[in-house]
Amino acid sequence: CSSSTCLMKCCCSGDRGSLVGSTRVAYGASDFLLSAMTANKENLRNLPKNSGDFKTSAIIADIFRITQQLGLDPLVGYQAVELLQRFMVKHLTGYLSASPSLSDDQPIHNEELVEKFPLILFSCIRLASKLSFYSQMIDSNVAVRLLYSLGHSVTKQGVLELELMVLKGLEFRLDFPNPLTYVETLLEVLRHNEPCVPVQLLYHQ
Amino acid sequence: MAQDVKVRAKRYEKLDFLGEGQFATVYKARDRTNDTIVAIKKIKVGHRTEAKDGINRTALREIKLLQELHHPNIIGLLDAFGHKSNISLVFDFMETDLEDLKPNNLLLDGSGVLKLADFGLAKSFGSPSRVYTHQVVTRWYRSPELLFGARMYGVGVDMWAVGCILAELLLRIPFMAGDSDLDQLTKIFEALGTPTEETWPGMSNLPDYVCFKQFPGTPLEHIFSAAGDDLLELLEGLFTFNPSTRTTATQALKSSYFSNRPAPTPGPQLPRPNCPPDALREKEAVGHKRKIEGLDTSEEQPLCFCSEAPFLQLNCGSKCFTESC
Repeated sequence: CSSSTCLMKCCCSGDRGSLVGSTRVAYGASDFLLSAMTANKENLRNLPKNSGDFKTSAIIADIFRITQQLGLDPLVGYQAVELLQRFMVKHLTGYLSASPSLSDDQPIHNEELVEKFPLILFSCIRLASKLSFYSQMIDSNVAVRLLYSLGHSVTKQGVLELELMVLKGLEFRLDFPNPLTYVETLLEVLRHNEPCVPVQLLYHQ
Repeated sequence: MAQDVKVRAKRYEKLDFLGEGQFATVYKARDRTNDTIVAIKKIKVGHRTEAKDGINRTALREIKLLQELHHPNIIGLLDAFGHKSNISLVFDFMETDLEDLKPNNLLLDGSGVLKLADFGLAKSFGSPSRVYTHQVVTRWYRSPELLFGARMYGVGVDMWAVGCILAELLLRIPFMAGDSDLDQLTKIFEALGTPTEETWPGMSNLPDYVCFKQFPGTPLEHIFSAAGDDLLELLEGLFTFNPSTRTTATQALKSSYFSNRPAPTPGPQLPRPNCPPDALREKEAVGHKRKIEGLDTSEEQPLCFCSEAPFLQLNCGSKCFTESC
């Protein structure tokens, strides 16, 4: 929340002309940021208590390693992190409510889930790659080969079924904001959104 | 989960087949929970691309965008559900036929409210804008900067498309119907005159720029001979070559055309189609066919309700345009 409030301030001062030459850009951006801030506040209010458990540095590193290996845009990685977090919380909440003997604090030992986790993680990357306007997609053959190299033998049909399972698990909700939603808008407001600057340079420095 | 699918499948009662596209089949259905009529878009499975790329990308993008957008003039995504490898999207039902702006994607509901549909190619504000693909927007509605291969572009491309749609409403046939990108540019320059570096600075630096013959263009009042000065002024602004000076949505809405009399007909009072959507589609198909064959289409009225709309009492339309070019 604090980051979007900060952006709002930048943007509003931009509106008065101190940061931005083009009031047209700032006008659209302030509208956009205002609604992004409201949505973010709403998100924070309704956050499940175990939210963030799947945003460990090891998991995030795995996601970015795969996106890098496949030559995907960094945006895909950020979106995949959000999708995975949402899916796992929903999935485990459903699992716990179906097994009343388990208490909330008890660690879950579910072999099937442990085995499936890398496949779920990969499916989140594949879904995220399709949501971005210009990122390339992951061909099914490439998917099968990559998973095989990670020690998972899955058919093309299997890859499709996993993708559908994650999509259904997310209840078809895909409109989660990721940190770049705000970064992109800030770059736009500051007029740093130049086509010649490589994405990595802007996001990772 | 299995139970959920059964509940979902029972929730919607299939009533009628509405149409079929490249990636989806559309049905009319009744939502039993509240007895409303909805349209269900069932994404095709077993499609060649599905084996290659998994779940259809356009469908996913459409779901995401529609979840983010809530507006009275944007078609509502009411529900989405999956069964086995099928995905079905449930939409508001529209009386007219079901990211890009073209007349086919402008729908009217039972109360005459206009809704935008088909967001498979839409892009949200705040998503990265560095490398856009220029193959967006159906060719006839594509702006000159897109046709010249611009990779960085803005909302101006939509305003150009809006101009083309407005022109089409006046002419009742597509205004500039090119059959290739080059032909599209030729049609644009023949009608509006070839731009120069003075009227459009930076044009010759665009990736796919080609030098065109200097067409003088036809004055808009000759093409749209029944349009008033306020409407011509609006069209002029929308068909500005330089994207950075092209009329914006805000400017367009403030133009005198929208405040001058007569006021628009309230939605519920609009004339309704007097034939079923199937027949409309057939009629439209015939219209296009005739056009391709080069026959006179000035008498053609592709959409029944258009023929009575107050601002469409124009009888020369396409004929003037064809003659002058």
